[in-house]
Amino acid sequence: MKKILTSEMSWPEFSEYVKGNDTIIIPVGVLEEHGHHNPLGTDTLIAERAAYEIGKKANIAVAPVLPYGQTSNILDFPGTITLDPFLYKKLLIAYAESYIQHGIKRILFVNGHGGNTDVLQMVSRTLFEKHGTFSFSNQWWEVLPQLNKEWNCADHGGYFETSLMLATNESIVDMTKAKTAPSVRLTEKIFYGHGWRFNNTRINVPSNLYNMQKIGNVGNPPQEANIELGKLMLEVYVDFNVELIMEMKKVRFS
Amino acid sequence: MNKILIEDMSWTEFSEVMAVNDLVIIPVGSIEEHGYHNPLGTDYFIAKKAAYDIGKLSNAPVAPIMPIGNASNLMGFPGTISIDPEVLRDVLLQICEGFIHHGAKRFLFINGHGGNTSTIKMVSNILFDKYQVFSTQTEWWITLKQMSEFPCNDHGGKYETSMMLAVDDTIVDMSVAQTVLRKNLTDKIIYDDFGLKFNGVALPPSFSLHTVTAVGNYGAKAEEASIELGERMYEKYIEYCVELAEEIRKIPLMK
Repeated sequence: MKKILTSEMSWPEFSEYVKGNDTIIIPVGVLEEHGHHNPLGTDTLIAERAAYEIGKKANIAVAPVLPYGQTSNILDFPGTITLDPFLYKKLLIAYAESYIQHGIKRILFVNGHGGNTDVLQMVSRTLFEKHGTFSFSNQWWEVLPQLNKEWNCADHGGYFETSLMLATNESIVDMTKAKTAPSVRLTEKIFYGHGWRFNNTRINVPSNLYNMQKIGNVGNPPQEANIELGKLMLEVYVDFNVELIMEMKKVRFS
Repeated sequence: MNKILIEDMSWTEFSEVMAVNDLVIIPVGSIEEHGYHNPLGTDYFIAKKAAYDIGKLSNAPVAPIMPIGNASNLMGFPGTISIDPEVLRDVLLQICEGFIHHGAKRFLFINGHGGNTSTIKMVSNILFDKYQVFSTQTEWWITLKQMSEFPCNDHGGKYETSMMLAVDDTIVDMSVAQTVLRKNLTDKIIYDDFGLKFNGVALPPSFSLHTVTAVGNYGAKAEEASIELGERMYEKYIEYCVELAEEIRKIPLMK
């Protein structure tokens, strides 16, 4: 069986791969709280698993996951680690540029964590401007609601994310500890509903969630999360990306 | 059974661990050529498994592995990843600062790649200067060379391949293992298994490897690697690190 993970290939095997394929998948995550019931590595583990499944189905090599990313607002929850965003940008660019040096021209970043998205967009732009590399990232909680209106994916460590985590590795999820977090409000009109909101719009509010609730998950409560839903979500997300990668390969470079 | 990897713990489980422990183990790897027969992730796989076993035996939590490091001298080989040492330094520093915020006062880096060694040393110095936390590192080939009968004078050769076989022999292909000598730079600046030498005195490595070999591994012959050798080496290294972890906990720290 052909190897999918670049970490498992020898350098001649990778060399062979690049001769026939200029695309690579890079999964990225973060280490951060996800409620009492989910592991700190939730985002990383989901991204890693999704990337592997995409790579296997699309026959595209998958790089080792970067398990550290950028996060804020929850830094006081034990185990949560952040990198400065511009350091993270440097790190991602250095990672990608190594592959570009070896002939990669297209990169799909499979991103498991919302806080990474801003930096990933900057990275894609830089890689294109500097090297003509065609890359972008996508996030399951943005992709899935657009493919299935019943999946609002409006939670952090809640119904949808926990389901995906169960599908990824149910042995490290403890559903007996899953709780509904109390709603958090800054003022009468500014409240937190998976993103700070004011008058039906999202606004950016720096905050310290740990000072407001000691559970960690937000949005859709997690108790009804189930592995069947997670497996279905994963399958839809993977299939979307397999098709996407096939289409990415057709993009012409001038 | 207690979880060992921090990525597997919930934040409350990690909090409980840190209530009775202030040591965090941090594995650091590299993705780089290791000859025809070894995977690009050799340093990564060895560091990852070693950190896990050390953490398990010493009851210390293990952070997610930093998978890439500084391997610029190997960029001539396809698949090698390299990040600048200052980027590595800053990433490791910020990871540690995060753990310090959560109560960590001692760090043990399990480093799988020589190109990261000096950078990690700098990180440890900065951590101590800035935060009075204790931080140190081990590299299996440096440890074993000093306290065992294994000279570990290779890159992707006899000793490293043996370690890789012990960690995961399914991704090593011994049928294509071969060893060639590195090309001497002059008649008198030559390579032996231990490195560059002039008149018998060691010179530091400074050249991109692809300019002196097309194969990638060098030093003690890869063809002589064995899983039995690897298991003996691995066990000695783990034992050493577990003892070290326990001793690190006894270091008095100033506040």
